[in-house]
This record gives sequence, C-alpha cells and structure tokens, in this order.
Amino acid sequence: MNHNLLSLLLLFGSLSLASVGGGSTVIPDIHREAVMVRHWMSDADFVAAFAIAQAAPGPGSLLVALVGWKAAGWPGAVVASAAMFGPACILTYFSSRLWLKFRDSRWQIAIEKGLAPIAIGLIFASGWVIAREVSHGLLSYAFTAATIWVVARTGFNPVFIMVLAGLAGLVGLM
Amino acid sequence: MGCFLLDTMSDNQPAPRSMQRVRLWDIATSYLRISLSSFGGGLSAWAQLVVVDQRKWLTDEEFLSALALCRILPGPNQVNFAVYVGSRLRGIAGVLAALAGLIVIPFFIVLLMGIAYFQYQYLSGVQSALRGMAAVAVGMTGGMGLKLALRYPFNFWSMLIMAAAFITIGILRWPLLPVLAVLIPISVGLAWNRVPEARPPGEENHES
Repeated sequence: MNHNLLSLLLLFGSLSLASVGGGSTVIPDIHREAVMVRHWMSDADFVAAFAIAQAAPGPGSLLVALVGWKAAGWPGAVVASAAMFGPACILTYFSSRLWLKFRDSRWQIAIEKGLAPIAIGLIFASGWVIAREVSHGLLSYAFTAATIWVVARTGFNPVFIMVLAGLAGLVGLM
Repeated sequence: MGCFLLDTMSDNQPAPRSMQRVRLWDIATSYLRISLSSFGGGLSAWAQLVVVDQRKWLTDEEFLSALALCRILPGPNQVNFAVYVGSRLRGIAGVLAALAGLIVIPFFIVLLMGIAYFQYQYLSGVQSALRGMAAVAVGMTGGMGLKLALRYPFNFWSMLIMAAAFITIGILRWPLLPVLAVLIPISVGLAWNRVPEARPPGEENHES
C-alpha cells in the first residue's frame, strides 16, 4: 500500500468516528489535512470539490472521494470513501441492533417521544442554516417557499421545482 | 389529522415480524431513488418521502427518533440512517442493500463531475444552476420539517423543546452535543410521564 493510501485510510478512518453530529462537522479538519498539511489539492480545488459533492446526488460526505482521488487516483477515492463510511456504519449498525432489541420497552417509547420534537427543531435548524448561505434574491426565496408548500401540503414530487430552479439559474435568473 | 394512518405497521408492533419481509432489491432501489433524487441536496427530505410516506417502512415517530439517534452517532447522518433502515428491515443484508443504493452510483457521479471539473474547469458555468437547485433543497428540508410538525401531536412542552432546539442550533449556532445533552433528558423525562405502563395498542396517536 503506498504512502498516500495509508494516509487516507488513517485520516478518514479516524475522522469517521470523530464526525459526531454529521459529516459536515469534520469539513474544517478535512480541509486542514488535504490542503494545508498534505498539499493534495489547492484551496480553490477544495472549495470546488465541496460544491460538487453538495450538488451531486448522494451524501455530501462523498467529498472525501474527490480528496482521495486527488491524493492517489481511483484507489485513493475508494480507500478514502471506505475509510470515511466504514467505521461509522459499523458503529451505527451495532447501535441500531441494540436499539431494536429493546423495542417497545417503556423507556424506549419515552425516548422516541422525547426525541421527536428535538428532531423536528433540528430539521428546521438545518433548513435555516443552509438558507442563510444559499438564499439571495426574490426568486430564490420564491422557489424555497414554493417547495416548502409543495412538500408539506401536497403529495407532489418536488423534483419538477428542482428542475425549474436549475433552469432558472442556468439562464441567469438567479 | 390523517397523521397516523399507517396502522398496518403501527409502532406498537415489533419489527420486522409485523410486516411482510421486505425484499433486498426494494431496499436497494428505494435508496438508489433517494440518492439520485437528491441532486442539489435535500437527501433527508427524500429519505423521509420514500421511507415513511411512500414505502411506509417507518412511522413518523420512529423516523424522527432514528434520525435523532443517527445525528448523535458519528458519521454522515443519512448514511447512518440508511444503516438503521436496512438493519431494521433485513439485518446486515439490508444494511448492505441500502448502502449500495445510497452510495455506489453517487460515488461515480461525484468522481466524474469532479474529474471533469479538475481537468477542464468547465463546470463554473453551472454554478448558478446549482444555486437555484440549492434554494429548492432548502425548501425541501423546511417542507419536511413542517409536514412532520403538522402531523406531530404537540403539547405546550414539546413545542417549547422544539423551539429550543431550533433556536440554539439554528440561530445561536451552539454546538450540537452539549445542547442535546441538556434537551434530551428533559424531553425524554417529560415524555416518560405520558407513556402508560403497559402500552395499549395505538394509544394517543389517534387523537389530534
């Protein structure tokens, strides 16, 4: 295993278990290692990789695949992704087995009921935080508001608004 | 109203005996749909739409509590959530099916987009299209929150807890773990009193 692959494995393997609160919490650490310490990519490359991973389908944490690719080509992309997802998935698997084993005990029902309002508050919080970064201009707010209405109050698939908004951006309206 | 109509698999039934055995193929293709739909973001909103509203694999409350669990555990939230759903439905084979659907094809899409960008730098013209799609992704997250909030049987205290979570994390930007360390015991303690000793089928969910 070459040196870069080993570095990727160790770096993302440890960040996987450090990413408490979600993949975006370790982005500053990924940036420091990939750009400042190991010089796998430039600052501009990192920002572009972040935007691409956010926009592309799938989890935004696939950013690490791009970092891995920059560091060591295709093997690097595979190693970085496996290291980033593997340990956290294994931990979640055993936690969820444990959780499901006690299904319907009184304390678990209480935890479910207690967690629900917190989770709803956190969902609004994530929406709010991203909104402050991406929303500029009347049309952008209009698209956001229309989507909220469609998702919350109708059963329609919101993908058509997504396409419309993409086109509006493409022709320079946003 | 119309909230907990998912009674065929109401959460008083132990999983997964209460439902028909879900096919691995269905888990993988549902997760592939979730991930491919999340162009521009909104992964968790798509997961809610497919897993809860369409497939009815989880109830609202199980979805919300699993989501909270997955946020506390390290790792990308939606990847963790896919692990939960897969393991809930079909154990370790279900986990692998859900992860295959969620990650494998997007892995290649991200790499191809990235390689195209790094080698030709021609993606910058698409930036504003991405911005438009991001505005919709924000709306999807907000809409999902609103939908779940409208279906949830709030009382005064749970409303207060929800507001506290939103304000501390969303507006004040306090770190997640200390906030949860305070809010979870309070909220679970308040909920404890509302859980009857031996839980009659479908209690409480049917009102409101």
